[in-house]
Amino acid sequence: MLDWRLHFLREPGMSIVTTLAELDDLYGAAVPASITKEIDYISAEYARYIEASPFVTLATVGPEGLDCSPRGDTNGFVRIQDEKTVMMPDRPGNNRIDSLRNIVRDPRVALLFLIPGSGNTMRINGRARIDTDPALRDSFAVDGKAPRSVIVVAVERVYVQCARAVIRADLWNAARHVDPDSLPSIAQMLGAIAARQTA
Amino acid sequence: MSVITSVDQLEALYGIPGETSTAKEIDHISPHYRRYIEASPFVALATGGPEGLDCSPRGDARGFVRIHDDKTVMMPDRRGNNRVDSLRNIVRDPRVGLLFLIPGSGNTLRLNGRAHLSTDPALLDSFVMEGKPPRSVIVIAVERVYFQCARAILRAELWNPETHVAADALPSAGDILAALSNNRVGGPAYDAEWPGRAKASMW
Repeated sequence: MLDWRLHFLREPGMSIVTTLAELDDLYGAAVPASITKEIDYISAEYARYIEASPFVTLATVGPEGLDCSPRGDTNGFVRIQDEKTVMMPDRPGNNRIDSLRNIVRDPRVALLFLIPGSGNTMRINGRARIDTDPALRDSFAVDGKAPRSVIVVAVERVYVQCARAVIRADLWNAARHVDPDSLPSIAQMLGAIAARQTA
Repeated sequence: MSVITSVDQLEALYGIPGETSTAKEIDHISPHYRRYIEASPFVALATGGPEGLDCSPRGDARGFVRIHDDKTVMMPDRRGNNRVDSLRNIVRDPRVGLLFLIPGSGNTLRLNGRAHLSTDPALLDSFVMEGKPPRSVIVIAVERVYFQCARAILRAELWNPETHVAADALPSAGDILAALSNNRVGGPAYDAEWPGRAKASMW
């Protein structure tokens, strides 16, 4: 048998997929249900998943590349303004604001909603803008603190996904969770990076 | 007037990031970062194409993203719905962003880079699960890696089982398909068949 570690010695070769036609040959047609469920608005059923979700990964893109950022709050923190619009407050973070820096330069976004306990995920793709309207920000205040901005997303594609990924990962099974102390701490990670930079 | 349209406006509003948030960004996988990747069974994969961006769930046994060397990671493409939106994007735009979740940890690991799709038979075979190789492997050249102490996870209480929903509290896939198709597809039969279908096509 060929050794997979030699992959890069064999590349570039016939084994790299570089076109849509080659992909179609490899995967065939999409499962019909996966087409039916894609719509351009938030249906009543989809709204219930969004309302039950406390955690979203937000994909954005800019000249520096793609970014995928964790966003979380209490269940339903993404507000459904109407069936074509959702809004997400920008809570305090590390001020890197990579997502926001991307959005002002390229409005395309993709949201993946996780619903703890459910094997389904909800997907919304669309276009975003960053709004600092005081009344809008105040409407998202928690403990008297308003977000500094609100990401307003115009919905283009919505669908639910029975995610084998969640099932395979056994994501919600607390018996499988790691002990956080078994992983390097933040202080350890920053210390090691600083040591290498000054070495 | 309240819509922000430039990076300058953003920096006026948010200030400049602190050193802690920039020092941790490196261009390779350090030994510490390796341990987070090895502990992660779930990744959100962001890709982009002419139709827009996509953010896809990817999951498998812990450590399913293989660290080939400190500049390269590999992820098998397990069975899905054949929409292959992520792969359709990658062949047209190689840029990807990965967010690794580590169940039980409040930290996330972020990895951005460029990907290609490989169908090298030896590589596919090296990812076999239950006798089934993936149909392709996403090979990612690492450009930026950093960890994030994710307030998002703490606020969401993502790993607290007491806050989890009961699965039957939400509309099922069958309910959703039936509602969208005027009952042409989906319904209770779809839900009843799903566990068997998923089991047969898990890897």
